[in-house]
Amino acid sequence: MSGTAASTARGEPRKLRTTKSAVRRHRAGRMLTYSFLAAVALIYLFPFLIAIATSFKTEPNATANPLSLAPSPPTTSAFHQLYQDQDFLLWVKNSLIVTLSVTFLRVFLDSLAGYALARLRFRGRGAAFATIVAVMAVPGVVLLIPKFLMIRQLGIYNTYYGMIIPLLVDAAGVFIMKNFFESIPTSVEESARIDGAGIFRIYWSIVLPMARPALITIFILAFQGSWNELAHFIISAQSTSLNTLTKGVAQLASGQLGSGNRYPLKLAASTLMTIPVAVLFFVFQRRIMNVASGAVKE
Amino acid sequence: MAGITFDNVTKTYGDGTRAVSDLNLDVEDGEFVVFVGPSGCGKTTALRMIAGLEEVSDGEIRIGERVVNNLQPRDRDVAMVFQNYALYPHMTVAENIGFALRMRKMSKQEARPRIEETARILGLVDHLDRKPRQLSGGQRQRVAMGRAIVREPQVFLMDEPLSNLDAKLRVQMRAEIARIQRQLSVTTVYVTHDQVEAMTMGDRVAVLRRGLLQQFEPPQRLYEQPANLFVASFIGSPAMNILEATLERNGDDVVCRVGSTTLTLPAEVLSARPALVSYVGKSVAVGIRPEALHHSGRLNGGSGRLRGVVRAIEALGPEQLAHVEVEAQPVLVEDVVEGLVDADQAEDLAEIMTDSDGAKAMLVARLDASASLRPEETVELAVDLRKLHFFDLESGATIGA
Amino acid sequence: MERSARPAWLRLGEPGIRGRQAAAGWLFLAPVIVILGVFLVLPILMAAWVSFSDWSGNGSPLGSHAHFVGLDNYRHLLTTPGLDQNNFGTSIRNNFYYVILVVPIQTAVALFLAVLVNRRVKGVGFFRTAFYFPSVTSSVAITVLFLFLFSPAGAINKLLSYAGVNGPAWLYDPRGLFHVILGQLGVSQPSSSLSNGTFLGVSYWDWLSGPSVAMCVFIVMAVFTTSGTFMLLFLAALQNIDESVNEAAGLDGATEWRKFRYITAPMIKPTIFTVLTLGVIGTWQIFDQIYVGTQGSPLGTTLTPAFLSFNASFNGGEWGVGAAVAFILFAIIVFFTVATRVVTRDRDRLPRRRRFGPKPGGPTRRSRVASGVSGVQR
Repeated sequence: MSGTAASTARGEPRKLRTTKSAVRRHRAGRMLTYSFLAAVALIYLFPFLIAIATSFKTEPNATANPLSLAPSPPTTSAFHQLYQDQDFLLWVKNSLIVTLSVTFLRVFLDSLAGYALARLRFRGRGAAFATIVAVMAVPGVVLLIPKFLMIRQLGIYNTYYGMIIPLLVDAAGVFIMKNFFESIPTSVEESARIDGAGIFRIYWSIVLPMARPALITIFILAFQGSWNELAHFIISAQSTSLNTLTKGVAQLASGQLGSGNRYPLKLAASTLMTIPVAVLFFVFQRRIMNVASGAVKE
Repeated sequence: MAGITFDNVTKTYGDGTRAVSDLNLDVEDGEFVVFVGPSGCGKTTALRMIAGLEEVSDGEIRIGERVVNNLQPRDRDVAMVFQNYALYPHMTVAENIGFALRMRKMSKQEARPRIEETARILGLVDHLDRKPRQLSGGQRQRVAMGRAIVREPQVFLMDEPLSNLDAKLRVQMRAEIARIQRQLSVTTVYVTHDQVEAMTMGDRVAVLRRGLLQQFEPPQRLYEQPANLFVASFIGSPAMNILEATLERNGDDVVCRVGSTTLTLPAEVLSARPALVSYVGKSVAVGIRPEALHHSGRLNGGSGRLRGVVRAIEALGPEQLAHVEVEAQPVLVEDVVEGLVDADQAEDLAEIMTDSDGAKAMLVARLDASASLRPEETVELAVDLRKLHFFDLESGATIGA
Repeated sequence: MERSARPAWLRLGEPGIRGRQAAAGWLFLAPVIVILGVFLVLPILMAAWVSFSDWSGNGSPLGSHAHFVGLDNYRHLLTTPGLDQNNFGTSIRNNFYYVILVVPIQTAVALFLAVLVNRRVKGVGFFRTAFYFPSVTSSVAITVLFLFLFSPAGAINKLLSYAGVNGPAWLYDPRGLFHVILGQLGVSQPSSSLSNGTFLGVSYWDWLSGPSVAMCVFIVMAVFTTSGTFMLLFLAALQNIDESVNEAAGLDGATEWRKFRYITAPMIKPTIFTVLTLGVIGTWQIFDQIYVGTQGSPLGTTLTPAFLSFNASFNGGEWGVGAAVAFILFAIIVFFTVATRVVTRDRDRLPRRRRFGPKPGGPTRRSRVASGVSGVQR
């Protein structure tokens, strides 16, 4: 880089000091950034590491050494208990049924609605869209009792229908699909129309396959949303045979299932519960984070 | 006020690409220097290294007497006008201009007159309270200049500041910038890919290509004495016509055979280019600027004339550009083609290449409007032999001393 | 959007393409509209009815078991002294402190993280993922985790003990934060006016309690879970800023901090407002964590309106009261959302005090109005 000669050809001394301290400053800045990042990452990830570690601890061990990441002795008794004493598998089954139904139905319905709003011309289209957005602006928590009332009234309380159907409304998903469809050039659809395809056929065979990126996005968001949902399952069903993972673990934690202080059990349950969503997240990170930051590229 | 020195400066990126290789260059205090070249030649990188926005991989950059390699941009006392102006969108024109003064903790009382004076110089007084989004492109450009001027820095750096303006505005602003620079006599480095801009604005022009400095001289010398094929082809519009030729002895004379034409080189040409003699018997590239070709009526015999068919005529008012197809081999090496990257001549060359069954070249001649030409007509162009340029076919270097 | 000259309504019955498009359009939209109507619009109307009734959960609320009682439920919550009012006031207080602590903290943390991960350092993608990960997990999992970490003999207290600090019993500690601080400063007894006067059934002294120590756990939980999402919003905004603007500021003499303060922050103002608004809307609705964690205890200091609404109805059979709470909560959310928007609105419309420009011709209305409204901070 800079020479070590004390003077230039013109006989003036060079400012060597500035050189060295500036280099040091530059590297120091980078170090600072890294150390901040590492420190915060530690704070954010350590709890999950503790959760995983504790799932493999015995109860006394968990109580005595809550911070340590090394179970002593390591044991899988918590998992056994989940399987044997609790209805863990039942919860998994219910969660799967609900989540997969909601996910696939949402993908389908959102794309239908999004396509209609984007491409089909009809009176009241603008009003319909405005309504969807407006109604979905109502805070979710306010709707707990109202939804319960309707579910009860329709007689679908304590059924899968009651758990699934109300979750199918998804303004964000309709929005995403609408935006996506608007970004496809109309020429493809127009040429299909000239070739004699009807509206539904155009939607189903031409446009929908092109929408795969957006559909995947909806799929991921719907899966995440319904897998992690709790409040709706509280109000839509009472029977423990319909407990999803979230409800089951919630009842574990709040002691409703007579668990007391059994942390390894509870943490094992919540860890297992998080795995599908975590896997989905790691596989589709980039897409998920793109959508979450408000930019749906497709 | 200070000069700028590039001392063996190299910039290498992480993946190994060398944006700038061993650049040695001295900008005098108060001089207006233009860095010009095709995209990717390293001119912007070199400029940003002066500003401190790119790190120097090797070598030294000095501003005045200071080695600035490791100085932060804000400590270098340079001001820069960006290609996209980089105005602060949430601040008014006055605040944009005054930002640097504010960073130096200048009081409002002290700063205001300076801002107003700068606005006056640039004709922005009526816009001081507007935000950038309310301004036209030209006005924004002037705000960017104002930001630089108000600081009274040692160096002005300009990164293609006019490329986002329409043609007419560009011509106008070129003159403005030159005028302001002369008035303030601040050392200025100006980057552009437009060789016309370079030629009209710079005291000296540095032609860069692929990270290497080709030539660094006043515009006229670049034009009249290009150092190599690339510079010869790059500078000048329309570009220089470059043909393959062989040098032969004809008694005491050296003749240049271009296609089917033989041009006898006058003694003064040979004495000005002693090295030419060593190329006798070999092929060289010969360059003929469009204005070195003259209309000489039709079908007159004699040496020093190129015969060809007029393919196209562009009327330009006081003169006309004639595209004449001659029987000669065009030189299509990279050096030449890259230099043509902005011109339509590259297109013409491509056309010729695809449908020629003999060696044919398209010459562009700058002729007086009075010369009446018709398309598909055979004409003879007189060549001003004193203005020929000769280049080594392998190295591209000018054959001179 | 319609290119034809005929008005849209005339075209609905038109045979051929347009008519079919209309039919298809409504058909495609039907599922979403129907579900929306049945499970969102109608329920709200039903609940509104219930909030004006004395329904106790038997039979249908639309049937003979529910009688109209006018504004009774609302009065019980707002004006009539009693348990309902007490609970409601307490829940408002708790949620209020939760909101005013969580929103600024999570916004600041999210912004800090976004700036941190906006560097072009190697492996920054890993950090972005790490910070966003908590947002992906369910509230149940996080609550269970925090119940463990913040248990009296748990990881957090263990950590504190290494620093020589005796951690509180966290989720069992009902003491208000401000009360604790005041206690440290020697003020432990309220004056009589503070302890006698009440608002919504809660004494003024208790209104000043701040969030309880237990509530603080939820505050930390909120920041932990939502900072990742907002970090991404900020990150997108930051990346929208052209690098050359920052470079220009650097050349103009700004240090990193000043670049942020004068250039970056003002340019991401809209995003900051969005994050604040979303934060306000979200924090007023906290329910899941309370349900799983403390159910309102200790001493009702983690009771929130959302949980109160649920509890009164599902567990207490007081559906009218529960519904009323829900609607009051709705009003509160709307109010705070609008308030946030108003307080942080874009002030560019108002004439701003010119800091560096020439003075106007004479004293004008502008200079007076703008004196407190300068958008650019000093």
